[in-house]
Amino acid sequence: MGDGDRNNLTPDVGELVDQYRSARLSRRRFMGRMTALGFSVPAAASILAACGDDDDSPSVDEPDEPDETEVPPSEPVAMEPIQGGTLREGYNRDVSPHDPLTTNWYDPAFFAIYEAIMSNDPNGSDVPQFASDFSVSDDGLEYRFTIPDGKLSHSGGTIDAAKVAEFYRTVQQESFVAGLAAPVDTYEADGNQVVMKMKNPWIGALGPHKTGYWRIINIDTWKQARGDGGESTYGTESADGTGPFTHEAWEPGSRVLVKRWDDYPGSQTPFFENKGPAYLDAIEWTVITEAGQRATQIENGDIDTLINPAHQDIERLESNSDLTVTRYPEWSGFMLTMNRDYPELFGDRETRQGLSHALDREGMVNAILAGNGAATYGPFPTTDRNYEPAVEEFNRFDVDLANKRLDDAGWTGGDSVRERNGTAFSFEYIVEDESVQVSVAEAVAEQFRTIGVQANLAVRDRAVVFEDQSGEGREAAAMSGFFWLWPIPLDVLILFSGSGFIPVPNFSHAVEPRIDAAIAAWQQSATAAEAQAAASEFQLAWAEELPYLSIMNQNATFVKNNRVHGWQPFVWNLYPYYNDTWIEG
Amino acid sequence: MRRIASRSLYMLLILALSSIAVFYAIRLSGGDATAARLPASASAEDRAQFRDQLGLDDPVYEQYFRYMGRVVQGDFGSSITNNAKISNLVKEHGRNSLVLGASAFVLVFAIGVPLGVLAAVRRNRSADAGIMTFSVVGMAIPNFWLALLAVWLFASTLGWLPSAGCCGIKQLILPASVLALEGIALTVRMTRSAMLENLGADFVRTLRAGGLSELRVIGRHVLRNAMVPIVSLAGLRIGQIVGYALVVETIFGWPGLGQVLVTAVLRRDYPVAQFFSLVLIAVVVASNWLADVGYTVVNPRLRRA
Amino acid sequence: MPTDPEAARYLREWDDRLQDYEDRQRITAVRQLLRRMGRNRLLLIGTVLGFVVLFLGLFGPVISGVDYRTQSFRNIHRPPFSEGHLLGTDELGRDIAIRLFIGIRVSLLVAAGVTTLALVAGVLLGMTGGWTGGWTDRAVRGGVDFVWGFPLILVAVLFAGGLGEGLFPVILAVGLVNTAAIARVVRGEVLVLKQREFIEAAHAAGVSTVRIMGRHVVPNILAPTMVLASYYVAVAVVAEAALSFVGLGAQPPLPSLGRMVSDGRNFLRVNHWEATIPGLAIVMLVLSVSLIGDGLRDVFDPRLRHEAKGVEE
Repeated sequence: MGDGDRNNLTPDVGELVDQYRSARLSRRRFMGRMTALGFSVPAAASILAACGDDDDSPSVDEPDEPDETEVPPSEPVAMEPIQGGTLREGYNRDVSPHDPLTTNWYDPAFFAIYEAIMSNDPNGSDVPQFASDFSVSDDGLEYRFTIPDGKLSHSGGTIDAAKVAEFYRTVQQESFVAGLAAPVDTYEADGNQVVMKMKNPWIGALGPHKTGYWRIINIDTWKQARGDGGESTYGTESADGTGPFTHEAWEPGSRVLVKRWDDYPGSQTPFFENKGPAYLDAIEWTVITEAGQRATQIENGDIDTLINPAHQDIERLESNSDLTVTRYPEWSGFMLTMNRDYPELFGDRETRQGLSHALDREGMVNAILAGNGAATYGPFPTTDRNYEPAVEEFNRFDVDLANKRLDDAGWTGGDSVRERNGTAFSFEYIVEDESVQVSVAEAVAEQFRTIGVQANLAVRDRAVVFEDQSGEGREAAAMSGFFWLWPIPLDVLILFSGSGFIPVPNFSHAVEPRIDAAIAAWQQSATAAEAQAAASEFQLAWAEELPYLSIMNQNATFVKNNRVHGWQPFVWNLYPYYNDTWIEG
Repeated sequence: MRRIASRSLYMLLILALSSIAVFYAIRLSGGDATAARLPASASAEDRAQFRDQLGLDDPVYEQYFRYMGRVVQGDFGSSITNNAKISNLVKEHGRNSLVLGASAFVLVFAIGVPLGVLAAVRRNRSADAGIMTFSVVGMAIPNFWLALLAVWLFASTLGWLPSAGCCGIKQLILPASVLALEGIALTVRMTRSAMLENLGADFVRTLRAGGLSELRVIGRHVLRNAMVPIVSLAGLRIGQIVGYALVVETIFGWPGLGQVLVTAVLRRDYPVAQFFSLVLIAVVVASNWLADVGYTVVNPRLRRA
Repeated sequence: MPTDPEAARYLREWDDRLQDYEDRQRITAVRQLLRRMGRNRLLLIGTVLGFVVLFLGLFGPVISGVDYRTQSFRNIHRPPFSEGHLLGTDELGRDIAIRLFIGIRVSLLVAAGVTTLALVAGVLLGMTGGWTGGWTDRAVRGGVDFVWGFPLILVAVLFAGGLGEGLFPVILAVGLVNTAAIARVVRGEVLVLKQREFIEAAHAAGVSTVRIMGRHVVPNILAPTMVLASYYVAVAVVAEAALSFVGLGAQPPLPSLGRMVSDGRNFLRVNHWEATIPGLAIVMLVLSVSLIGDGLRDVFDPRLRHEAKGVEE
């Protein structure tokens, strides 16, 4: 029952990295072993990148080794896809309306109902999806996407370049995440091309357009469905996308059903094997918010695939020969907000650093995530391609140092609750009512208690947790943990830490000039090197100034029954595509 | 008849009062409707305009009458957290709740009555002791804990039944049984004492003396008399099931009215919370009324009154 | 109302004598009661069980001497009888035994709060309604029926919505419903008592209402009320546990039995004790209270009949 042996991911990876670094393992071998451990190729590649791999890094040639890097470890290719059947997928969250423009969270159904103009392929490169082709001007100020003729939406409407451009303009006006693509100036149609003009060259310009919020919808249908008073039936009773499945039923708290769209005009996406209508008749997502029940359902065969089982069940699922478990170190980070509207508590850096040093991040990863994740000392997961290892110099677990920092900052009375200038170090700690997050919050609050800081937990439903922590006139300082899944961490972290996003989603209301400067540099980086430099500075500034306390990163975990084929989630896209998915009879 | 009519009027009055109480309670619960429906970045003016549009700043009684007016016309509004139409939610989840509640209701009597009869007939013997112990323990086990144990045993360990989901027979078995347990335990007790009371009655002695077989005496006459209070109070069981369904549906992920209501309250989704509370209260009040009427019908003394 | 002072004095004396008689009766009855209680098996088991739980709740934390908040990330999910942890540890390495004791304390506290509230308010309302009759009574009856229409959990959910999560709204909500239950029964008892000769006589003698209430009514409704109250203690315990389980009751890190079951439910396959031990504690608590209730009813019922006869004769 030891907790040490359940944690079989991190030590193995560490060992592999060590072997690789000491040149005992070839790059190719390393990749092979990593994929065997359940990492996707790009994830493994990014780990390689993080441990200083480049072209002239030491590597031993082993030409007779089979090339394991090209194909992810998947099912044998000899089997012929079977038409029909319903894929039953378990999902760990309640479902959001299928409306890219208004949702604050997008679910896997977005990858069945909608298509993005571009997508990541399994190697993390940009490939066209709804577009057939794209190009960037030499100065990086103009992107052109070619929309093929004959593209339709589910309702039969024609989706041409003009409609796509109109949709994107609506995103700019309506979407609360529009700021993710702030450097984009305008979208226009030019013949069969969508022209995206930039305010400044930006290497990350495609990033947001590959997410759920920019997935293409028939904007006419969306406008029609909108009533007065902001109510809309779009996304709840109907949805009108261009993907291979159509919206059929959407029942919050319960399930979502999509059906194959027989008139699907086909896909340009190069890595899809199936270019025509989907194999599956339907996909049904079941909402399983009870963490303990997810694993049981796939073990019992009540569902075929599962997104995010409870961490403590993963080891058991991995030992089940009927199932395949894939774990990706995507950014799904726990961070604590410290509300700067209470400068007497969180205003000075010394205090924030004191809090940070009190946290045993490794211990929490082992205990709460059952080792299925990694401690984070900066804002990025350690496996990100832009990860800056120097952040690990900061925020180390050291209770003595934590106490010293708080003493130096003028907080006295470490035995019970500390005080400074007559203010007790006590605040409300708001957390979403989800088992892992509550555990993290309880663990953090207890560690704060040991350094004389009192955090009073307030558990809230996820629908109101952000409202509560950003609400005005709260008597106590709010603090919350939350997590987010995103292919490119920095793009979304801009929203959380940029001074232009106060009060929301910059929940800490922190104005950090170093961070703002790094954001500006990132959104103006025209080359990969500039982008890396901006990302490094961003991470270091974050780790030192602490607009939030980064705690840890949990892996995104996908489980499938081995009867399911062509269901291959990979690290860059958050959810799998369902075009190639089929089920053995 | 007069009594039934007056009880009916009384029921309507209670229902109206309940709707007012719920309306005020939910208005008090804080939670800013604008926060849920408008993007977080909306300005204070946008919010004010939105509040004005929905009439959220009007006196609560005005809002109440406006709301009831719409409800009577069949316009129930929609959720503020996810825009789902309440009429759709009621339709989908109401059906599921009905299936679950009706199954539990049937189980309560199909299991509770025979066990109670058995206990009464075998009074003070081991079967009686066993059944009564079951009844006492059954009432002491909290249903949410029983639900966990049932899932652990039948779904996780044995793999016989699904741990959650909707809406087939297999998914129904566990939640319906858990929901029914307390009612069964209670019905066993009631049946047993009603049977015992009748077994000691004079007419039984007469029948037995008349040479009727024991089986006939019990099956035909005693049971029929004993069932009167049980059946007439069946309405009360409905109310109980509705209350417990709030918790049981949540645990089993059974998409019923109770599950939606609990979530809506936690999310401060007041249009949903309000309407679903009213629906549940209406069911309970109606079933209490049913019990009342049932009691009146079988009790001639009250009928005359 | 007799105006003759002689007659009034006589009646008052009669009332005093009646009081003495009732007191004597009661002393004998208490002796008989204790004897019957000693012989009642249900009551015995319930009481023993209750004392065990009470002892754990009151003295467990003192004896254990551990802090219920202390975590140990290296000692998580330990089964019972692990080193240093009699009942093992939970998902954050906290000692389950101490959390269980505190959880029992929370349950007892809620039960005490609810029952006090329900008894005081319920008896007052029921007596007022039953005694005065008329519109006051109709209001009480209406109020009771009104509260009765709401499922308990729904009331609690609505209260939690209005007052926020925590133990206070739970106490208030369950207290309200239990008040209605007790008021209903008390009112019925008082209505019956009111018709009885000795009360009517006392009334006629000009004995003040307060005195009649205190001397004749309260002692006579005490028994059924206590039986009822013990049932509603069980209701309070279960309701608190259920609400904490759903997340509306006790907030972390304060352990409540329901909250512990809720935390443990995700680890049934890892270390089921985290959910089964607090669940068993709830069952024990509820079982003891309802056995006591059953036992009390068995014991009290005959006494009530006996006493009624004694007075009427």
